[in-house]
Amino acid sequence: MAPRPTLVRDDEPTDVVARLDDIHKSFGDNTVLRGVSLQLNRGENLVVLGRSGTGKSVLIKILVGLIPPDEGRIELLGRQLLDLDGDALDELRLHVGFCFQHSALYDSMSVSENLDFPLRMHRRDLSIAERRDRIEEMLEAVGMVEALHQMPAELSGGQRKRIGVARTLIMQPEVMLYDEPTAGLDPITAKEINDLIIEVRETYGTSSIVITHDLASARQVHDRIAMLDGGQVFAEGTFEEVFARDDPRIVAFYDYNFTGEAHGTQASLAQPGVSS
Amino acid sequence: MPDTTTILHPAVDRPLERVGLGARFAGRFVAQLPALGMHLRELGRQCFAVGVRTLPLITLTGFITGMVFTQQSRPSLAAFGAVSWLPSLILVALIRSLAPLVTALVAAGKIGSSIGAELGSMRVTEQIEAMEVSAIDPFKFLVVTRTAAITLMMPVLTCYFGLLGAIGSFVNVHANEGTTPTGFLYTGFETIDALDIGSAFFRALVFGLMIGLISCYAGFHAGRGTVGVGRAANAAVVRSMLAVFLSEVFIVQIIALLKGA
Repeated sequence: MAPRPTLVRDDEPTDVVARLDDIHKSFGDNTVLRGVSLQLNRGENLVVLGRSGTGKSVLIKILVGLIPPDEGRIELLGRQLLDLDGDALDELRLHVGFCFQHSALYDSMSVSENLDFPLRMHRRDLSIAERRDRIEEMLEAVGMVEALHQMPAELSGGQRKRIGVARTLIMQPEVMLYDEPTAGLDPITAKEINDLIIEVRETYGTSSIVITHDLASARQVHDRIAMLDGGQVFAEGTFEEVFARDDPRIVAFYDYNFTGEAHGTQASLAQPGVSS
Repeated sequence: MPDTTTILHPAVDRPLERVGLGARFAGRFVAQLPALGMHLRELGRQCFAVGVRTLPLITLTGFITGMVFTQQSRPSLAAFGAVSWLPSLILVALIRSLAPLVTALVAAGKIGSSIGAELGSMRVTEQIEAMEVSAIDPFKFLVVTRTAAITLMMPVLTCYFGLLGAIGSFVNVHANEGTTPTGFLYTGFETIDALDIGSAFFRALVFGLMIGLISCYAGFHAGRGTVGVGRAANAAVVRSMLAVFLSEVFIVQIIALLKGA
């Protein structure tokens, strides 16, 4: 595949591809985000970890302009997102891949058509044969070549996730956003998806934000973890750094993930190899 | 805490707000019509879908309407010794009102519910958001194409309904009075003028536009979960039918004014 054109110029001094600064968001009386600040560095997998309902998904939807924040600044690939109009925002979005929690495959289209759709809309310079080659290449990358002519309804949850990743990769994004990529999957399939996330980063050089509440997944795919609770990021660092902290929220989160109990000691927290 | 957003009264404000949002939705459709050229393939697919979905039902309802309406009208005309006017009565009724109206009601039920449910489920399963983040305008791709398709197809379906209604009527008249096809057509079209045909065409376009916009609006703004999808499908049908009847009242008045009646 041809090299991807990037929005961030190589001569730019920063390695930050996305920056959220003091983001606030409420839905009616429900305040979800209270001044969240985060940055995604080039080539890293940043995991945003938190319990359900803490605004993790809202955060990445804000990052791509799907949901407007009440306050704050968003910089994505060197652009101030909130200053962009429709066309400029669309241009920026072409450099971002978003994998939805339930994959959001287009039900009325086959797998092949799902992958072809963004190409047909945005890459009118490609011939049908070139588009077909690229679709096959992407399906091969996610190990789903046999699903080419299947409909989304015929696929399992894990297969749908893979196709969702392939559909976003086909536009050669610089940034990948994964919303709960392992939610609802069995541990083996979840591990396969985690492997795929790492492989995507290594093969395509993407920078990724992975939203999850699955600690095993976070540990496997992360370069850095940001923990979200009460609408704020309260801990950042590697898995070991974050889970070495003496914070009752972290202890409770860890214990709930690995023992199913909301209490416990921190002694066993950062032991690798524990599966959920 | 008092509701500070109320201007007049909630019972007045809410329907007015909905009308305002609907008008804005319609305005957006008009503004983005030129984008249709980018989605001709989807437009063709939707036109085909509208035709395929409704054709069997319109075939059946058109034929039965013509036949039954003829049967029911015969005694009244027979009382005045005017049975020979049956073809004229039926064709006037079909062209001036029945064909556009019944076709629109069938389309509202069949296409409206389908569009409401489809877009509603796309909203609920984040497929519409997936389009947005792929820099594909879902309004242009989903709303503009579907609304344009149903608007374009309604006159075609209305003509088809009228034809089937006329055939149903002829079968009945031929069986009872032995009228020939030529005699049926000659008597039938004697009192029909270009304005009748033009108004039927106009009605079909207006009804198609209404059904398309209302159904797309319901689906595009569906609430969460399966309940949201169900409500969207239901709202698409009910509001489309209501809009068809209300607009029929206005169109009839306009046509009457044009005819100087």
